[in-house]
Amino acid sequence: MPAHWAVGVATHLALCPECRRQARGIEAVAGSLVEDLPAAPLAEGALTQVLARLDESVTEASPVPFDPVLPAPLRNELGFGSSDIPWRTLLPGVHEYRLVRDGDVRMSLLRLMPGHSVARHGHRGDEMTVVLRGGFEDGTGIFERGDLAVADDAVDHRPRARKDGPCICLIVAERPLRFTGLLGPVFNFFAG
Amino acid sequence: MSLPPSATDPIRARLADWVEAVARDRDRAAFSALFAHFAPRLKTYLLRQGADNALAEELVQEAMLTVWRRAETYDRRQSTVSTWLYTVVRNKRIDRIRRERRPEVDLNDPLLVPDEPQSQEAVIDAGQTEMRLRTAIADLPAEQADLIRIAFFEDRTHRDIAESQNLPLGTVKSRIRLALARLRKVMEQD
Repeated sequence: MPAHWAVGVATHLALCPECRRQARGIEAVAGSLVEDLPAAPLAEGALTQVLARLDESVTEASPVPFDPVLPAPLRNELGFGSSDIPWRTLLPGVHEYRLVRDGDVRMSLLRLMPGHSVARHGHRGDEMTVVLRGGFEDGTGIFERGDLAVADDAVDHRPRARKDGPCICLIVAERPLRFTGLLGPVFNFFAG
Repeated sequence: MSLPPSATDPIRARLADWVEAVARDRDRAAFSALFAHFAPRLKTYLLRQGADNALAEELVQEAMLTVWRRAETYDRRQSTVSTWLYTVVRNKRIDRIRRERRPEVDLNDPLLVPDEPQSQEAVIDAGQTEMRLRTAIADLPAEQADLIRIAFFEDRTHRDIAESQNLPLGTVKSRIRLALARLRKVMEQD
């Protein structure tokens, strides 16, 4: 799984106790598998080097303070809170803030004002959406805060924000989809 | 060193004791023992994830430094030391790939939607669960166990796995899903 998907997964996990429980279960599987791995010899003096570093002082990045919309993984990614998002207008009632544009990877926050919708679209790759505020419906279902929606090539939809308030979502898209690596099974598990 | 199931409990308990000694007493001997036990396995994990030798060494060191600095966050009721260390080293690797802070679920985040309160009976004994899990992994059909190992330890897409194993993509996905569903059932039983 590409590393940026981890932000979407962690954001969803912060808002979904059931998936957090499942993720812990899968981590236990992985931990157990790690226990059975054969040992690879370390460079000579590796332990001595680490022992010498134990008393190093560490300056940890100070976390962004609590924000009612953005869970910790996401606000640390942004580096600021939800009231400071520099939105740009894509269409009337549709605002975007792009966090990452890195080759085919795109990570954005999207804000739909009440009742507004994104134009109908398909997907060339796959796309993960986590609802952070409000809710939207797109004909396939109704999604509310904390929900995770995954759209792929087969999904052609027109998400529309509920009328009772704006809808803010985190969107991570990558083409082609690579649900692999360590969180991959976790994510595929949820997606399934 | 692979741990035979009969010996797992005391050894696992000792690993957890060592972490707690690091947290409580800043015990360097306990830390060294943890290093001896885990560092070579973590290195194997990183090599299988595609890290080269130098990067694997470096990330192992960073992971072990995190053990020293964050030992007090380890809770033996929640997970085994192996599982905790697995998450630490996995995060180091993702960190490195992204060159940014790893998006980690912060359990102290006031925004976190809290877990359902657990009943006394439901509190999981991580060591017991792990024993069951290891048995269950050993009992998986070979075709499922192999794919689980590949999916966890090699940074490859399901499509790659399907090609290299000469299997249809749908088969790979369904075998992995079946295996995880089975393991999940094992973890949830009481």
